[in-house]
Amino acid sequence: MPTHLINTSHFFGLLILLLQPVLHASQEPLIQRARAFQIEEVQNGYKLQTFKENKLIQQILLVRDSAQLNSQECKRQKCLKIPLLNYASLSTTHLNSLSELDVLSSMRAFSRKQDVSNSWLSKQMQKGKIASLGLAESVNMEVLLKLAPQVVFTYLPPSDMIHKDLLERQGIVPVFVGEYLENNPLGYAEWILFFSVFFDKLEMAQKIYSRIERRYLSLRKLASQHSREKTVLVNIPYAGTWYMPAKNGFMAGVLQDAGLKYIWAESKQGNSLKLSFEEVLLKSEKLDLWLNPSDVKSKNELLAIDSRFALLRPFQTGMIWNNNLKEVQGQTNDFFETALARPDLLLKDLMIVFHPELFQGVKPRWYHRLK
Amino acid sequence: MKLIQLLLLCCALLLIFAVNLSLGSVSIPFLEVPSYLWEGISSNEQSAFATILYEYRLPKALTAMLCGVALSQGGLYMQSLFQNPLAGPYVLGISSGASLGVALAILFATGLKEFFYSAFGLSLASYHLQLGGAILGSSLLLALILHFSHRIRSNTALLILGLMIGYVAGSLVSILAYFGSQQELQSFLHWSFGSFDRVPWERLPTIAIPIILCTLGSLFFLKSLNTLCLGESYAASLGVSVQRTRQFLLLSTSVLAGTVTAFCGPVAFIGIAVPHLTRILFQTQDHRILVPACSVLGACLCLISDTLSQLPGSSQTLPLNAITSLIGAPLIVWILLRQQSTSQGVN
Repeated sequence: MPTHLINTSHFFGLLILLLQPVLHASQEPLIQRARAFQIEEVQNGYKLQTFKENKLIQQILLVRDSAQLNSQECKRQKCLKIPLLNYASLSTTHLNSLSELDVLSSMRAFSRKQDVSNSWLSKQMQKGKIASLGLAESVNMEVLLKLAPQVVFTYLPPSDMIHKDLLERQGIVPVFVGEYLENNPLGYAEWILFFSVFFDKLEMAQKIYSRIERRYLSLRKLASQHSREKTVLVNIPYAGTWYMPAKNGFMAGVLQDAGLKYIWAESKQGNSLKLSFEEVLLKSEKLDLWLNPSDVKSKNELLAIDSRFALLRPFQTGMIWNNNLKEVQGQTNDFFETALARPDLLLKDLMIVFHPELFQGVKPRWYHRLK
Repeated sequence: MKLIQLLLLCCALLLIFAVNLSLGSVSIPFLEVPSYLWEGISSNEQSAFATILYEYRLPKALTAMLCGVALSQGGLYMQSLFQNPLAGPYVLGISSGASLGVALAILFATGLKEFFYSAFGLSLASYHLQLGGAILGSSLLLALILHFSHRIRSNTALLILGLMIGYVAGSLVSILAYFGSQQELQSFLHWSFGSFDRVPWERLPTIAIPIILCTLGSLFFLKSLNTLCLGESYAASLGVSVQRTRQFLLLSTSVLAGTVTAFCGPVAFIGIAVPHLTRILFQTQDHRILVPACSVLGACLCLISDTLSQLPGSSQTLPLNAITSLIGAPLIVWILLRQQSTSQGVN
């Protein structure tokens, strides 16, 4: 063999060896921002893992071919044939993703009909075509066993599910959905990918998520160019305690991305800050805006709860905004069903409130100023 | 006569058990219940009805019966121990002590599991911790009340003391709940509603064994209990080991109340109402009749409460605690009024 060929082959071999980790590294993981789940593409399916406090909570192998269900791999771990034909869900926070993936029609049962704002699902539940199961902690086992969906999406970790073994014996797989563990708003939105693999619609979900991400990032960029450092107060006290979103949480993240100064970010407590009325009153002079004061629709309703609210600066300046515009207009409020899974829409709404000059003529989807 | 009454009560229990099995959110024809149940027991390929009956309703009904036995026995022991007709696990705060233990077990579940695993190599489930916490909590509270009972001779004062200790335990639970996360709080709240459906087949032995052991143990103390009702010094003069009987009653009540509270939540009023109802029905103070009769009547009442809380035919269920209180509280009022009018009649 001529020497130059040996050298060339060596060179290419060396190049491949050198590039291998680079090539491998360039294969980006499917999940970029969410921390509580991972999806890995495996032969003819997906490996799905969910985490809580960095511990693996559940692992499911989703396979396209029924024959794989009898494989050695499926004897070692939980396997499910995809796409699912039917399922049940126990949280309204799942509904936006399931609706966007166009799989609501395969739902057999849902938590409670009084919590639903999705009009199609609400009608189906009223007609009795989709059954009501109650809350996850006290789920109606008889109805669940009778309907026997392939999967139940629940916010309860498997260790907290009393009837987990019974459900699994009946071929009903409880799937832990921990989207509420995400602190990053876009991480929350990425959970549409989690739902999509059960219906083999990953590509569709990626397109939806990319759109959400693109919109969110461009809005955030716009907000950063116009930041005016307004300070904000959130919620109302419940039983004497003012629960304020913590600095690393979802809501505080969106507020900061919208260009607001979140003064409660100074605290280093856990997920949600517990403040007294006095502590809030102490910072009243610094407050420019007040958001999400429970389900009130007017300033009078707010005063009826506690007349001391009038002492707060945003009350005096009239800068109180709530997310129940649809209720005021006589419609069902879908804020809690949609806003978490669509942080781009939430950010846009908040930016219309904080920077109205940037969105002239555009009306918020959920927010309105209390009169 | 008393035996015939007891036999009739057992027949009533069987009927109530059958009704309980046949009613629920999903309607199953009453006459087809036995065949579906048999299908559930014998076949691996079960229909939905067979699964519901065998895997869900049957363990729930058995749990309700076990809880009825445990709570009514616990109530009877406390009434005999304190010589007080108004004593009971719920009234004297024993259930609050168990609640405190459960609250601690729920809030510190992760740390406790890690501790037991690293120290003893034990891999415990959440319900093991809750059971341990509940029994420990109820024992501590009962021991405390018993300690004071030596000093306080007035029954009313002792009841008030029990209530106060129960309040302290309750407020500690509130403080713990305040510091818990939203999920822990929700989990605790649902547990406190009470339910018999939290004991699937695999957990049934954990609740059945302590209750059966305590019931069997009580057989050795029936005579002592009868004598104890005549007064401690009289019982001692008849050769009854008052100390040993007292220790058995203390341990037994703590285990019975703690086990039920850990699995089914703080179930109110069964413990206090059933012994009274039994005394009225059987017109006796003989514990050889009272213990089995209380157990059967307690099982009946818990099955009835469970059937009502399931709101048959509806997909909704009511909290068990609300139902037992709705049945139990008026029953106590009726018993009090009845006793009042009887004593006035005698006077």
